[in-house]
Parts: sequence; structure tokens; C-alpha cells
Amino acid sequence: MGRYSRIAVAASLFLLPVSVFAAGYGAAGCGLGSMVIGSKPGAEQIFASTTNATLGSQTLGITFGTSNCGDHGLVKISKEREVFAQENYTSLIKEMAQGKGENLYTLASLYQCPAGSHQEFGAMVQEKFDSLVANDQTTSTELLSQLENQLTRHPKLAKSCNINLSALN
Amino acid sequence: MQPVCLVAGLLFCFCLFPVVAHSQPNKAAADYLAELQQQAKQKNLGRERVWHLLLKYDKKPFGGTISEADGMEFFNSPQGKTDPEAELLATLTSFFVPLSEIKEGKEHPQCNFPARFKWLNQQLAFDLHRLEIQACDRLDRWVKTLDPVGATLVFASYFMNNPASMFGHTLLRIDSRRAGSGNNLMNYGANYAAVPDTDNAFLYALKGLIGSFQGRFAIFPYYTKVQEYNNWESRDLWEYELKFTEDQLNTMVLHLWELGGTYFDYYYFQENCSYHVLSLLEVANPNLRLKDSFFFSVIPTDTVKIVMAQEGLVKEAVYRPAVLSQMNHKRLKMVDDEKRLLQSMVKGELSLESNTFRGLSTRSQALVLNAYMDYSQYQSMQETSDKEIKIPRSVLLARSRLQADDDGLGGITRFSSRPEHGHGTDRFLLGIGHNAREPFLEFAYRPAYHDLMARDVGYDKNSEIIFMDFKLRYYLESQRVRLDQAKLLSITSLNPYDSLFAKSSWRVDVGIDTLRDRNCNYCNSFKATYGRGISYRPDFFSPLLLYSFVDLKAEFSGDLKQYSRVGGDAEVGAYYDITENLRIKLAGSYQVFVVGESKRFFTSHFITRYALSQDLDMRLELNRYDHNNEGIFSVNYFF
Repeated sequence: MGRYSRIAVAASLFLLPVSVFAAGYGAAGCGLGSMVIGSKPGAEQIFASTTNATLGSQTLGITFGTSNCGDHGLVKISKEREVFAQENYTSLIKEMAQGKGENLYTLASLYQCPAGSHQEFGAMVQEKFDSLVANDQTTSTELLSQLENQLTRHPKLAKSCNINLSALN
Repeated sequence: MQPVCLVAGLLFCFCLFPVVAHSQPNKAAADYLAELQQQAKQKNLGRERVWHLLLKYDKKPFGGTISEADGMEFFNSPQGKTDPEAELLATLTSFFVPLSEIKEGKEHPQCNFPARFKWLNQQLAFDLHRLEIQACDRLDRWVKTLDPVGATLVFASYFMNNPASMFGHTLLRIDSRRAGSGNNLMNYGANYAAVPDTDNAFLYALKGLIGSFQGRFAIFPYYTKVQEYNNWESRDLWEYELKFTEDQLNTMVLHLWELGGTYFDYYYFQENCSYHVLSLLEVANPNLRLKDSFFFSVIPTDTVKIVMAQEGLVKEAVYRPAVLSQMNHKRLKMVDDEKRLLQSMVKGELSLESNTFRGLSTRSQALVLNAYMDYSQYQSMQETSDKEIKIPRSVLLARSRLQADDDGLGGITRFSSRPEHGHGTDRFLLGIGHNAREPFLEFAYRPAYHDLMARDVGYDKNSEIIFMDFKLRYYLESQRVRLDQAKLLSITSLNPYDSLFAKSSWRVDVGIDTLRDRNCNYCNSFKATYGRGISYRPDFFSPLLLYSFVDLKAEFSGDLKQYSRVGGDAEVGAYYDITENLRIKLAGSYQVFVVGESKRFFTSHFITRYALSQDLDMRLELNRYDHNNEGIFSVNYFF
């Protein structure tokens, strides 16, 4: 079945503009199994590159600091919010401005807000957008600390959500 | 005599005691190991399907077995790559290695190969008093964090302006109890990919073909994959939730752990992402036989088809639209005024403070801003910028001040169709035709992939990619077989004009053809064409597609004066879907050859196709090349 189709794709690479190389997005990964960071002395370089079956040919940089990875090769639970906000930053602030969205509700879950309060959470971040994203240099870390500020002040969300990291597992 | 004996005995005791104290358990362990190995041999475990799946054993073409894994740490026996039984016995032995013999920073084999341990334990029922069980902290934390309750096959569909991406990509999402429903972004995705060591496109292609890249499994938070495919490349994702028991999922995750330490030679034909994802599913449930049906190669769309074909395996298919699909959905709902405003925002000509914008209803403002934010998100990912906030903050802020509950969109529009509903990738054609002189029969075969006359469900409806398409004709009166056409590679990428992304269309065609405008007894030429053009579709789902091209052309043939002609052509044409199954194409071109044998002539084409089913269609073709006419009726079968 389609044995030569891959050659076609490969051959087509010569013709296609290889613009995908010049991208600004970095994926993330901690390694897998015994390849995990820290399992070997001298911390091996971890791969976070993908190749499509399509030879889409993008090599993604690594943006995960090793400090975000647990020795089991997954994101440390204590870093989950931080990494999530950082990796999905643009989606997240877009949804904050809209007051709803999957990324936003995922963040709410990371603050232990029950599903029933997600709408309220959305409404709150939309209302407080101006102070959450103070200027166009606001980082994801600053956003989260502002968010935590607002959460603790909110009459309902302060009770239903939990900003303490220890609440996660 | 006696004292001597006593002394000797004492000495014997003293000398021996420490040894006995040390080797007694060793001996017991050795005995138990031998017992287990004996049992394993009796039960022929080395030949079991599960063992072969776990170790990635495959039959060699000329007999024997070889594992696809290429990292030698994957094996416990030096012969492990080719000898399943030796590997099994060595694996049992490794489970008995005392912890003290494990080097610093290394895991005990029980912890390195937990899926093998689990299966062997099920088969041989290890006596835990006789085999010391090692604690595997890291593994335990890993399994506990992943805590799988589901698995989802994720298919990334094609992206704009890249016909090659029609092949798609697959990965496996591990759905965790912790994330729970509605929190799919927080799950992890297992991805198999080549680790490229070059940026050079030529080397890249070559190395991929000959398998000189290493392929490795990696595990990523699913949201990074969503960012990569949905937002960066703007590809729609299809998620197929699969049905497995928790025990099966546990085995799969343990197996994934084992794979982390090894690599495979990455072959684009056979051992690619889709192939390895299928093997993960087989490890989870060895009763599934997914890889067997692939003889030569595995194309991602085919893997979705095979998974869908398994009774009760797929629970649900979920569409996750790409960022531009989300934007286009909003554009579809816009009235003309809103579209114009979006356009001027993109051009940077619209101030949010202007009366034009402020005069709009809240709902309209929200719709335009939402669409603009999607656009801006996509654009920002195509470039690097040192700004933290990629969407203009003024836009975000303006949107945050609008209390539009819902922008009145209702649901989502699917801009791509489910890949498993597409036609097969191989095609066989049988046709009958007539030219000015005589009737003929046509036979053609191509292994890949999609042409613009074929039914486009599951494919990019603006692109075609044809590879190794060989067509023979048998002329009935002159009783001759001729090679009519061999399309080695032909790609067309029509990019219908979009005011936000004005991209030209392009096409390239390399192959052997017949010099149809000449009467030279069906003589062949080798030809190469490259062209650019513009195309237009009134809206995303319009049945009409107009195109035009200007091409450069070179043809080489012994039957041409000076053996060649070089020139070009201008072509215009249209595709129109009368119904879902009935499509027509009209095209005309003017060909000019100025170098070599010079000639100018017109061609015109009328083609119609009726799809009888997903994999079967009929076509009628009327062609005119200069003064030569021909008509062909054909049946195409895709598989």
C-alpha cells in the first residue's frame, strides 16, 4: 500500500518552501523512561523534536527548563500551573479577554476550582483583565501571581478554588 | 584422628560458613531461576505473540526473527535482537540480579522492563519469597502520575499550502484519571518521531528514506502538541477515543517506559509514527491485529481506517479545529461590513477608537475582535518576537470590556473531513477510449495519493499529489501497447484567494508523456513543468473552484527536431461540484514552444467524475490537443 508515497513526500520537500524551520514556537518535553533527565550523571540532552510522517520538517526548540521536570520524566506537579501558563500563554490571554475557553478552564482546574465555578472564573478574569495583563511585557509568571491575588480577593472563588500548591496531590 | 577431624571440621565450618551464609540464598535463587527458565521453555513463552510484541520482533524476509529496536540496551541478552528465546531466558536472569550489582544511576532490570516483568509474572506466577522484588520509585511515580483510564488516537490533518502534509501524523494521548473529563489538555501524548540531525532539506529527505535517523518515543503534555499542530501549523486534529481496560492501559504505559530507553531506525516507508502507534495499541490488547494488514508501508490515514475497522475499539471521534479554522468559522458568520472591518484591522488601518468600530453592536465588535485575535495568534507564532504579549494588548483589552456572552456562532464548522472517510491511497484504473484513428484500452496504477478529480472527502480539496502513476494503452487496431503516461511526481497546490492570506497557487509535474499534439505514432517525451497561478473559490464551501496558471515547460524526445522543445503555457480552468458525487472540470490552455522545435497550439479538456462509493468512481474525459481529439471512459478503484 502506497509504498512509494513516502518518496513522493520526500521528493516534494525539494520543491516546497521550507519555511517551517523559521518558527518561533518551542515544544517541551522531559524525556521518557530511562532517558529521563537526571537519571544519568551529567544530565543528558533531552529531545523535543518532532518529525511528521509528512516530513513537515520542523525542529522544535526546547523551552522546558530541566527544573520543571520531575525525575520521572513528567512535569513536576508543583510546576504544572507555571508550565501550562507559559506554554499556552497566547491562547490563555486570548481566552481571558473573551472570558471563556478550554485553556482558561484548564487553568481554573489547576487552581482546584470545581467545574461549576469555571464560568465565574472566566467572568472574573475578563473583568480584571486590565490588571492581570498590565502591559505588553507581562510574563506568564506575573500573570499567575496577579491571578492568585485576584482569586484570594474574590468572595466566591476564594472559597471554591485553592491557590496553595500543596492542594495539588 | 578425631581431633584432626574436629579441627578440620571446624576449619571447614569456619571457612565455609560465611560462604554458605552468603551463597545459600544465591543458590536458592539460582535454583528458582533455573526452575522458571525450565517452565518458560516448556510453555514455549519465547514464541508467544505478546513476547514478540513487547520486544518488537518481526519476521525476517528470509526466515528468522529480528527486533526492530536498535538500541542494544533494550535487550538483556547479546543475542536478544535476533533470538527471542535467549532474550527471554536472559530477562528472567536479569530479574534476579542483586541490587548491589546495579551501577549508580542505573535502574534495576525489573524497573527498566516492567511490562516484560508483568507479563512473565502472569505466565509463570513468580514466587515472591524466592524472587526478590525491587522497589521502582521513579517508575511508580510515573505510572501514578499518568494513571491511565483511556487512550486516544490523535490524527493531525493537512495544513495550508502544503500538499505533502495530506499524509497526516498520528500520536497517542494517554488519558489520565487525574485530568478527568474536560481537561484533555492536561493529559500526556506519546509521540514517535525521528530525531533529525540536519536542517538541510535534501539530506533530511535522503536520511529519512534510508533509515539513518534515529526514531524515538517521547512523551509531552498534550497541550504542547495542540499548540504545535492546532495553533502553530494550523492543522485540524481528530481525536479518536479508544476502548481499553485499565489493565491493558497499564501494560501499554509500562511498555512505553521500556521504549524510552531505546531507539529505532526511522524509515518513512514502514517504521514511522503511525506504525509505532499501532504497535502500542497491540501491546495493550494483543488480540488486535493492526500492523498485519500493512504490507509495505503505513500511511497515517490508513492507520485511522484500520483502527476504525476494529469492532468496538473507537468510542468517539472529536474534532479539534485549528486556529485558522476557528477564525474562518467566525468569518463565515460575518456580514460584509464585519468582514471589511476585520480586513482593515489586519492591514492595521482600523482604530478601535474610531466611530466605524464603536458604531457596531457589541456582538459585532466581539465577533470581529475574536476573529482578529485568532489571526494574530497564528501570525505571531510564525515569527519570533520579544514581546511577551503576542496579540496587541489594546485588542485584548477592548475585547475584555465587551460583555458578549456568546458571539452567536453556535457550534463549530468542520473545515476538514474525517480522514477515514477518504478514498484509499492506491488507485487502479481501467478505461476504454477512442482517438481520431482507433479505439484503445487503458490500464493505470499509482500507489499514491489524491488527484483533484477524485472525491475529496478526507483530503485537502484544493491540492493534489500524484506519485508513480503509470498508464498503458493498448491500441486495438494497430495492436500495439504503448506507455501513454508516467507521472513520476505531480503536485498541484491551489490556494484559493483569501484576502487575509494572499498566496499564489503552484504546480510541478515531472514524468513521461505522449506527444499528443503530433502524429508520431504515440511517441513519448520526457517532460518537466513548473508553474504558478491564482485560484478562486467564492467561499470556503462553494462548489466552484476557478484557477489559472502560467507554466514553464521543457520536453525531450527523439521525435522532436533538435530532440527537445522548451516553452510554456497559460491555462485557465474550473472545477464544479454539481452534487456531492458528481464533479466536472473544464480547462483550456495555449501552449507556446520557442526553443527547439517551435510550435503554438491550443488544448482543451472536459472531464466529469461520478463517485459510486468511497473507493470507486467513473470518469468521462474529452480532450483536444491541437487538432487531435480523444475520448475516454474509465473506472477508478481506490484501495
